[in-house]
Amino acid sequence: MVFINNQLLRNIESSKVKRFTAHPVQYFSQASLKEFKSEIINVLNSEYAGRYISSAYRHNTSINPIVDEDNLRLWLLDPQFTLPQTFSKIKEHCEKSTSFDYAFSFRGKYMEKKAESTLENADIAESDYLFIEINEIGSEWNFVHADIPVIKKCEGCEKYTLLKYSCVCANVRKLIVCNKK
Amino acid sequence: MRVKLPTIASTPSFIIHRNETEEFLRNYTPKVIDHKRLEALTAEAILFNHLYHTFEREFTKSQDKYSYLLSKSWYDKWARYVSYNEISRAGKPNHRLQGQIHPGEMNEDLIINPQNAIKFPTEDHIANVFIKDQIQAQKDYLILSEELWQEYKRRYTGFEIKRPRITLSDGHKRVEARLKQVIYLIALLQTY
Repeated sequence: MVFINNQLLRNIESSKVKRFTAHPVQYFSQASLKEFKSEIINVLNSEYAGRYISSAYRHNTSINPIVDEDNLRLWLLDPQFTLPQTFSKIKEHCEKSTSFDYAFSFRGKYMEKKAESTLENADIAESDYLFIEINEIGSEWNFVHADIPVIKKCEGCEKYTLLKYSCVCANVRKLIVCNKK
Repeated sequence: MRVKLPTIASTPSFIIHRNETEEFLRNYTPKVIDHKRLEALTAEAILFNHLYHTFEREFTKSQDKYSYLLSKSWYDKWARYVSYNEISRAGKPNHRLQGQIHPGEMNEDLIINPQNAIKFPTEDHIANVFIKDQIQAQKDYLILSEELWQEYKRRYTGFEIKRPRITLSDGHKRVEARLKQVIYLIALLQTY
């Protein structure tokens, strides 16, 4: 399990961090994704959270926020992409972003569309990578996906509309647009 | 006059025995073991024989949600230590073997500790215990009821491997020895 906070994304952008660190985890095959998510939230709110995430979300500090189901999302990386490729892509997005409010398409599946599905039926292979995205309530999510449409101002056409896609043009710094063209 | 030992059923069919005894006996001079200790080991073998048979009989009917795994290699050492096979088959222990070599820690050979693995904060969370890949029931481990495991645990130290039982659509039950490896997790944390 690799945990990335905004500072880490900045560090990725500035090449201070050069790769993800992955953490294996196991759980009951008959548990639902919802139950699994709940257990991950327990981990992130526990005294051991510091092993996985930055100090901003560590347990038992009055100033730090609590991770709950509204600020955590599960994503499954498309198996055709490797972890190093994904790291490079995220780094590229971070570098192109005009602000530190990083936002980019996730190349994979949003897992919570079928939250009641069991892990066994969730079509997860042992070689797959599951991403956990944690977001501070009130701020923007990093991952954008067609399954979770966002209505905001398109950086391409400047209209307020559903934003689904990352810009395919490598020359501009506008990242999230409403139309693939 | 010969005194009859309590009736003991044959060794459970799901347990595979290896005939290591003969070679062991050729190379080993037995220690002298206290008589009371030997009696206790015989009683232990009789108790476990009963528990194994109860478990085998009731496994499909049992409503228990969990089972326990026991290393087959450890089981073989234990069986030799208490003279389980001889007591199960003939009702008499083999005093040249019984009490000679303690079986050591339970399940040491099944457990692994993957680097950077996620640990759930609940004490004794069963998903915190990882077992080796490619191990097989009967060959590498046995499945135990809670009652059997607790009896072992009272007598020996080692690692607990507790696993959920799953009832299949046809009513059969299986134990999920190897939990779903939910691969690797990567989190993005957006903070300001």
